[in-house]
Amino acid sequence: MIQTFHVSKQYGRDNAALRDVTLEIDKGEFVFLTGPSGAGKTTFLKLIFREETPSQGQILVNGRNVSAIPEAKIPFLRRDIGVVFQDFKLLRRKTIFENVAFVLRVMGVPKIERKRRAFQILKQVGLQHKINNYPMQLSGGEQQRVAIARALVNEPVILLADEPTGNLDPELAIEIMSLFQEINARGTTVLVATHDREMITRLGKRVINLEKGRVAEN
Amino acid sequence: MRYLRAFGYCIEEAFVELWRNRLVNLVSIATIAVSLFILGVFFTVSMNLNALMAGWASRVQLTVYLADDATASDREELEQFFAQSSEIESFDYVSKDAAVTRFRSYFPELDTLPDVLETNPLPASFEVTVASDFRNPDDVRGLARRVGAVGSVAEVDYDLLWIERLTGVIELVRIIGLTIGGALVIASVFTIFNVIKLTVYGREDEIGIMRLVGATHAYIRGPFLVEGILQGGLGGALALGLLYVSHQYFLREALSSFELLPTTDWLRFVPPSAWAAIVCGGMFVGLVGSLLSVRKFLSRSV
Repeated sequence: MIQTFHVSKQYGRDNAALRDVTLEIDKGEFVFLTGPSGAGKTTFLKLIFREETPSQGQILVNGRNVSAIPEAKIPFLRRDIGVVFQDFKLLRRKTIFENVAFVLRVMGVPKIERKRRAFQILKQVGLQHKINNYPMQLSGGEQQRVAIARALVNEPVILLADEPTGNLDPELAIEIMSLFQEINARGTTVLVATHDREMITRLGKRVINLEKGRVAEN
Repeated sequence: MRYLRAFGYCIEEAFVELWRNRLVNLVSIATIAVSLFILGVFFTVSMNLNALMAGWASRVQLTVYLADDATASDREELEQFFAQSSEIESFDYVSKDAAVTRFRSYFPELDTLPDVLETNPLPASFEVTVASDFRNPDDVRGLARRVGAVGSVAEVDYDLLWIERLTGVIELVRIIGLTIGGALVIASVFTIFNVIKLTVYGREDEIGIMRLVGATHAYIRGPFLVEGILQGGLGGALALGLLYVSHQYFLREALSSFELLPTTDWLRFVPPSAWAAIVCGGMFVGLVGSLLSVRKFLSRSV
């Protein structure tokens, strides 16, 4: 599902975020991406949905060479990938419900269907009572759950999550993780970047450890 | 269906944005309205002057005086010439006697003058009405020259000087109108450009997020374009309203003080096709302004 071949990403002249990363994540896998801050986890995720392009190397996502996708086709790659951003990236001027339904709207899903699916996923993350609130009216943890709901609402082929449980208390973190597992069981490939060693140990999934931009453990 | 939904989304978002930034948007709507209003005023003035002139010009006649020694066959020859000429709509023969009768009816106090003179000094003439396609100074002058060259014709009389002057005035009004109006329309395009640019800047984060969740360029740009078109259309409608109100005001207040003009029938409001042109013109100005803005500020790919 995701393959990288000797991928490097350079910011400026001597700031290498990733160096010669070659790895493969199969369809339906659940993988943790871990490593200290600045190890290149976020950069790696950004390369997959083409927020960044690699300085060197090739990336294949769902059979597509990501760097070779023409600009006009990028939105369609992104519709296959649900992303939980570290800073949530919610639309401030839209309600929670609109934020989640927006992804479906962009894809041209009819209104009734949008309502049904957005409500369902918000219920799964436990925010059904706040659908008419705006992001700024929610706590950090709640905003994170909105971001998760948005990433999952269109049942993406790949789910990328950048520190998705960082702002959640342990109980909620476990719940979110079981939601990810559920999604994963339905066939979505899940890649979670996290510091949370305890979580990684508990779930016993495959772990890719990055250190200073290189794969230290796979 | 999907495109229809996307279109619906653009309209909805455009209205929301228009209302959200109503103060700034009012500025661009007003700029467009003022520009189109001024264009409309000049258009109305030149249209009315044109109509007025057309009315006068339709009465343009050549008076073709025959030489005193012209024979009946000369007259027939001339009639044939007139009948064959496509530039001539109609012609009437005024005999020497008829000329005297007419003279008497025009000037009753000089009733006895022809008798005093014993001979009839008034020449026979043809009154020639020019066909409507040829009622302009150049054609009339050319026709007069050709008719005048006929041997039996003593003189050809026509009065075009004032029509020529009026044509010059109308031309001037039109040029001034187009210059001022054109400059203002360009200013409106830039106002819309800047207003939409502000909106784009204000929503930069939002646009970035939309891209990240898979919105296409068209989907992101659409609402801005619709917003520009709406601003322009509203500006155009406002201009039309202003134009109507000022037309009414002008008719009622200004013209009533001129005793000179017995009727104001000739002072007409612009026709429906011009209403559409003003509103569509506004929409076009809005579209160009927002297109420029969106092209320049939304061209990044990520």
